[in-house]
Amino acid sequence: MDLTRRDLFKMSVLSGAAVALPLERSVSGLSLLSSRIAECALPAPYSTPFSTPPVIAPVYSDANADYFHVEMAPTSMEIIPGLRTEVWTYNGTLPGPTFRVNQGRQAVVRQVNNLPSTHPVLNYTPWTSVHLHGSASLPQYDGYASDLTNPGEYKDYHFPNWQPARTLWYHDHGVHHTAENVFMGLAGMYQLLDPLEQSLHIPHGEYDVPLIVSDKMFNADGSLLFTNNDSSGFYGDVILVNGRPWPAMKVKRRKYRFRILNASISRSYKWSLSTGDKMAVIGTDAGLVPAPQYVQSFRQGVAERYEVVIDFSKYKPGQRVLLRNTSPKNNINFTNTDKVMAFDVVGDSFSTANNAVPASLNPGQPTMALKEADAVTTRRFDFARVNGQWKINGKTWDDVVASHYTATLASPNIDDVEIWELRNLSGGWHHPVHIHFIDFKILSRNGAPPMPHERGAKDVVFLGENETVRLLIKFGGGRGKYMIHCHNLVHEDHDMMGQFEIVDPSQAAPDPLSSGPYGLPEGPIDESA
Amino acid sequence: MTTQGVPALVPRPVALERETAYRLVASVSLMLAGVIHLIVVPEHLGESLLIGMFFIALGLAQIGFAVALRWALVVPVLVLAAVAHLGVIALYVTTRTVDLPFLPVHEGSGHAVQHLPVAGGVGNGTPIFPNSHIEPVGSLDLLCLVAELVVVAMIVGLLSGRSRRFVTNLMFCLGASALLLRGVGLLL
Repeated sequence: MDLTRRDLFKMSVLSGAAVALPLERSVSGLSLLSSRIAECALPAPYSTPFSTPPVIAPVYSDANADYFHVEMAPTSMEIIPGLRTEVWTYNGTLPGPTFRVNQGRQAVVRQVNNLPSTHPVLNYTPWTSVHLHGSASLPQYDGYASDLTNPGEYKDYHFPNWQPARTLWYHDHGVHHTAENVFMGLAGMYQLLDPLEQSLHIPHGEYDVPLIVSDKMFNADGSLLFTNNDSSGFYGDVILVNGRPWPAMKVKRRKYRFRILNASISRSYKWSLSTGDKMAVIGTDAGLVPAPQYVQSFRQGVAERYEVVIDFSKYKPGQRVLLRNTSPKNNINFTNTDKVMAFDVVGDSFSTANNAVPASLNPGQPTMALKEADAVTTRRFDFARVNGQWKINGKTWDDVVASHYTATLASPNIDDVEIWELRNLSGGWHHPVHIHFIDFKILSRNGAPPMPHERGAKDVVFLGENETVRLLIKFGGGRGKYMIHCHNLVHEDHDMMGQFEIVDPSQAAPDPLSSGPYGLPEGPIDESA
Repeated sequence: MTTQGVPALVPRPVALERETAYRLVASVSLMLAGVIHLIVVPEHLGESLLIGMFFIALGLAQIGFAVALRWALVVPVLVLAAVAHLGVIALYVTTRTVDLPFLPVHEGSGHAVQHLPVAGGVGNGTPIFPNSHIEPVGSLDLLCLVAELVVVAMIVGLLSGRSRRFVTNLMFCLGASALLLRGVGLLL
């Protein structure tokens, strides 16, 4: 029997809907970004006042240690003017409070996980593991990814603080959702001071300023919007400095020392000043460099820290100097991600003390004093994406879990010096590679000397596209299992993370999973470590 | 003038030819859809045993029905087959447009890999991104959809009267409902 026009019409309604609706969704992509806040609803760059996170005070102290109490909990705050954003914070601030501790005094930090039982959007249990990045902590206090503190539990972390002065940071490292937890706000700065650094006439006090840079994305209602771009990384359209979008800071006509921490999830930056003037790099991840390096611009990957002195004395009051970002490749950029913050020069009076950049800062820096000839072996680590998974030498953290935490990528002997050669054979992405516990010296980058700003001791190295980087490392100061991973936190979660073990035949190392956590309510603090 | 008693010389063979053509096209389309469903079984078995079994059953049923179409089937069977295919088509559209929490997370959204359980971890530590249960449209499943739409159209051609109206009205209602739901934002 013939199909009538009416039959054909009825059938075509279904056929059209069945073909078009799924296709429409596929073509328009994941509709996550459709709820993104309009650019016109964001604050204009440099319209937000600058601020710094508060410095945390110990709850008590004894002869050897200071004791701190930190609570991880949801907090509602106004980041975009007129909108409320729920973030997760350490002690209610974004970023978390800054620690300022002296070399030789231990810090014991109670971290209480008072986060909700599930993430409000991503529906995961926000277990945590707090890593003090840059610290030679014992394995059980290093934020081992599988050493979990669930909501309703707490753990006391012991930090030794015996290393040279440096800018560290603390952030969550819980397995599978580090990126999401850090994106929610679980990050803060930790400054370790020592007599050498304090004795130098470099800027101190109010002229020693943390710049904790991150990028975020927001929904139209002000809530955070997280998307991982097919596991390649998170790239937000709003640049925050110390939790403020594109802030403007008033500066006096003198030198300032900025401790720049890239606390982004995936984004790398290339800094420069709008005046084209040079900045003095005086510190890297592991503290003061032997001698200052003057650069017009420099690249900073995720988790790297650089201490930079900018001299505002040459500028007139009223002049605005911009800190810009000419992005390294393979970031996803938006209209205003080339802007970071502004420095508004004012004519206020200022102290002239500690207003210098000495030609020699830390000539005896122990890591930088290492010689290539000291190395007893060379190991190679390939960072690659295989079948959608990020891997190191073909392995992931799941392989570590499957081995009951025994599998290692390397097992150097204590006090040995080794060369670690890191390779990224892809042109499609870069990896900021972090090696826990130790400091290293960059020997070469694709056979060439390291860039000027990298000529100091470090714990994160930017492994660029098609690059091979050679590192010189002394495995001293401790023993046990520590992680090595990509600090693009999306890569880390998907599963570019492994571990190495510093082997000491004369002494067993503590197990990373050997301490805590404990269930709430809180008990007395553990002073035993 | 009446035509009573005059043999219908032309219309009957044309109708027969048309019916044969409908059966043939429906059979080929059913074979195609069935084979495609069987091809994707391993991938779906990897996600869930239940989903894998569903695809096996569906694929075999379609191939079986393709063979059965060699014979003249009674109207209720044809209507049942049409309604079943409309159900499959509705399921297809739903899985590509609605974030159904009981479906597996598809590759490319959040964590595609099932991780090993972590000792000491309470609950699920793996983020589940909004819309990550929505399957993307692939060329194979689009081809399968078109084949199934052709199957239903051919069955409609084999039906007449009330049964045809029932199926075409159902198709219209399903299509219009889907468009309406999209309009109000319930489908993405």
